[in-house]
Amino acid sequence: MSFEPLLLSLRVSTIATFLVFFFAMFTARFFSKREFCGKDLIESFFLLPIVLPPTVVGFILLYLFNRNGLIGVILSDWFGIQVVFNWIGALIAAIVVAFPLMYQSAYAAFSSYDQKFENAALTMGASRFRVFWTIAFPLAWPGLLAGLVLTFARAIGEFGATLMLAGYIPGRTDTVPMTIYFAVQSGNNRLAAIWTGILVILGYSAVLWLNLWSKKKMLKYKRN
Amino acid sequence: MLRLKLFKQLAQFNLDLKVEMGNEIVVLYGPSGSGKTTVLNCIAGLDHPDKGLIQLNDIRFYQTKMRALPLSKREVGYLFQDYALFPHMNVLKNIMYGAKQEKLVIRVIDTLAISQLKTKYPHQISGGEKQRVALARALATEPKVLLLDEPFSNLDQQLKKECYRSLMELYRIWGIPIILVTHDYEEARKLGHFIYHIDQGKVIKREKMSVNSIVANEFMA
Repeated sequence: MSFEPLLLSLRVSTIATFLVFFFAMFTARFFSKREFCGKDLIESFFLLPIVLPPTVVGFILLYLFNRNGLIGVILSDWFGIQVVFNWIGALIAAIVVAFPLMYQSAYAAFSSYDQKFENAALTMGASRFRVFWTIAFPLAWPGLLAGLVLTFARAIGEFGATLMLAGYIPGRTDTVPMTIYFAVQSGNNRLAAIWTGILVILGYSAVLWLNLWSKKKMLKYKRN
Repeated sequence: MLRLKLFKQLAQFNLDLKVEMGNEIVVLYGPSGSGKTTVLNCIAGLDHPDKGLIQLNDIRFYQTKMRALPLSKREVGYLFQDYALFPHMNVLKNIMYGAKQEKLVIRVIDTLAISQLKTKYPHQISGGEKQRVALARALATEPKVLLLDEPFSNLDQQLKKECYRSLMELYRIWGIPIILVTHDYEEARKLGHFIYHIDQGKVIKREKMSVNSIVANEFMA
């Protein structure tokens, strides 16, 4: 049994989580602070991957990222990057499906504490940059962390959109969920069960750790 | 000298107010929802008037049709109604957040007798202690004007007396303009050099308090 699928899944989900965390956090921060025309339209667009079937998301991504697609042609011609049937396809699929989860968690996290703390910091002469990193970020951290764990879990478990965009090429795009699916298809239930067990342990550990950490850290201070 | 000339359309009424003060304690006294906190927010830069002038000495915070001075440059100390102490920082970190010199922080902490609280978190201290910590935090930034939004409203009578004393002691040392918002007339009478009675966003009466009625003299005699 090769551990290649696990390594690929970890690589894809770690990079996706890292990128999604920062992008969704700053986007959510901006959207939680500003009111402007068209905000609801853009937010609904962000959340679309939650309501669409993964195959539909995958099809849209395939349309955009294939070699002649709107984005694919730019990536291919300008940067020599091929997304389809490549692990980068799996990465893009993971980013797109996980983004709404992180966005929603971050938005809720930044709206969960009283604005007065930031106002107090601003009146003390702090720059907005400093207010973000010393007040907003720590106060929103429990919610951000929950989003981070959800993002990672969603990214590592991504299947439908990945299959559409990256396909199943052993040694190249075979993430764990994909390996499980094709193992079952080929009648290798034992292999599917092993990988299922590994994913269950990974997911359970992440949620358990989050719960334990939350209990320990979030009780350190009470919200005023 | 702090000059305020504010006009702002609010949901229920128009805020229309003019105040000029030196290094005194001016009390904005009036019922809840009369626009008092909006005045403080406009001075601090958390809110803007629709038109008017806010000027401290020769620094213009706001003038109609001119770009407002960013709030981080106003050097205003603001004590919020429920203190807004940062819950994830201990008392010392709260006070140090906007502090300019450590020496001053030590002096403020000593004056307010809160040195035993330095390592505690806001949820671990009492209402009166929070009030003093918030006052220390506001003063540690070396403000040119101090804004106090109903700072004593959650305290019992004994604590209020102690806090009045602390405030007057700090006023004696700092000698900066202080604007205090309250809906407690007794408090206004005890602390203010001038009391502006505010109702529906307008000054309906201005009282100059006789020196003898000021708590400062009461306590410092």
